[in-house]
Amino acid sequence: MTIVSFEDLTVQFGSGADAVLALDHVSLSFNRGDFICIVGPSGCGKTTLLQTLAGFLPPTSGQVLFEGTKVDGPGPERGVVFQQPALFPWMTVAANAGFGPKVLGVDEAECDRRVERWLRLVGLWNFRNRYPYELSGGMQQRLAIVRALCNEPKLLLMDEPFGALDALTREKMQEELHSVWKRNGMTILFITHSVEEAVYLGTDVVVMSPRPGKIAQRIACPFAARDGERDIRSIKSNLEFVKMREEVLSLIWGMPHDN
Amino acid sequence: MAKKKELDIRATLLGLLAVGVGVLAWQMIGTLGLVPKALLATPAEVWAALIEILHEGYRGTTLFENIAATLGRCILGFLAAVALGVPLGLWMGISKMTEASLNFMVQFLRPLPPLSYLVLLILWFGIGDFSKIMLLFLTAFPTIATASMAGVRQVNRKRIDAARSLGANSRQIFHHVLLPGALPMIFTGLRIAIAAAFSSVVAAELMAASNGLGWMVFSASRNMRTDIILLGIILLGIFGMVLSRTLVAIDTHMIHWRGYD
Repeated sequence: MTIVSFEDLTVQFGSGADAVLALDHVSLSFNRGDFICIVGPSGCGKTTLLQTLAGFLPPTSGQVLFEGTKVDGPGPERGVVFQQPALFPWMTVAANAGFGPKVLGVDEAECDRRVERWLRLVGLWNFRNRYPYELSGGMQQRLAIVRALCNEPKLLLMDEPFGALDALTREKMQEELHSVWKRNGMTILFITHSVEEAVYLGTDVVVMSPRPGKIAQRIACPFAARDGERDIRSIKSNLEFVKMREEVLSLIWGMPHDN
Repeated sequence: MAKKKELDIRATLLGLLAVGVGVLAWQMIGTLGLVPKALLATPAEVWAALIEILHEGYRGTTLFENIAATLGRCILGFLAAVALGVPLGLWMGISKMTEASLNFMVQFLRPLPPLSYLVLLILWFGIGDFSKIMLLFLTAFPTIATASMAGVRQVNRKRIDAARSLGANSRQIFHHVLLPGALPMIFTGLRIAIAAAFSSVVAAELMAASNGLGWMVFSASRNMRTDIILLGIILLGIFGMVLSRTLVAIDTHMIHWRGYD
């Protein structure tokens, strides 16, 4: 069941001779429950694509449909997580987490219930009365994700959310995100520079090419949906996994990119 | 933690010692006759003047009355500037139209020396308290409005986007993101404004008042009472510091996230 549809989307910045074509007639659609990972070299338009779906950027031409309706601005059914957590330092961890439901007028008891559920799930419940600046980078990013999830969005948009984390924390977060996705049947659009991360997490890997931004290829990816063995090391060292990762990387290396 | 406390205690003692040495040197200058007594009263004489004024008042005014008058004018003018300046500044930061219409006047007012328009204010409002409070209001207002406007403008764009994505409407974004995000800069503006207001109130009292610490200093200078002049100056310095420190304490207490952006 199609949840998102980019239809002949073009986004141009500037005009005339200085115009930059960030996205050039891009078309893509995906279904409820998909985990779409977008990879590609710098300047391929991945962030622009996410921004149009999030509602921060209007298309120059073409359209973006969410559940059949044109996207007209940001909204709680499309939660967003950026690379910088962008938390509210004047609010406690719990207040940050519960901000979405609170501004939407959700019943207080229900707010508290959701906040507790999600904070416990990511191991932040004991820090609920602390402030974001008292948390480590990984914890802050977890909180940013929880903040988006407390609104129970149908779609989660993530723009290189683990980019600022160290290698170990990053892998732990990949595992956590995967299990949250699996358990809740969410739909996720995930931008990353790491091909390995994309192949591990995604049901599909969409490779984009730059200048102008286009979709080069879409590759179905079996690892995320598989049940059974979830040890991240064995998955990532699995021959099939490595092959796919290398294929995608070669594809990206073959593209024009900035040095 | 113990190490830090040790350092704090040492720092405080060193500070007190420095002040003590200064006072001692001052006393010596007088006692040794290095400067004629008529020009510079000694700490002992200043202290005596304090006792004298506490018991007999000064020209019909009590010390308490003078302190209260100066502080009162300063605080009232400052609060009025906050009450109008913060909302207006925030509004200017949010609405380009509002900024366009009001900013010229605000920026014009800002560098004007308050004393240049004090005479006008006295002409219009008389020599009572109102003209002085008005002066302080005009002194503090542009700084506070400008700081509020800048404060709201520099709120991290990503936080605003995050709030929009979470479903907040404009009013909620203002209340939960813009206002708290602007507070550090607003408070910096407040701290600058209260210092400026305080020096203005003293100057205004020198010119046209019948009580207040500034008036006391001016009046004493007419009678060559350097002991009272110095007493007044010392009290002004102390209360100026008290006002600043109070604001800093409120700032630190309220804005616990300062420095974490």
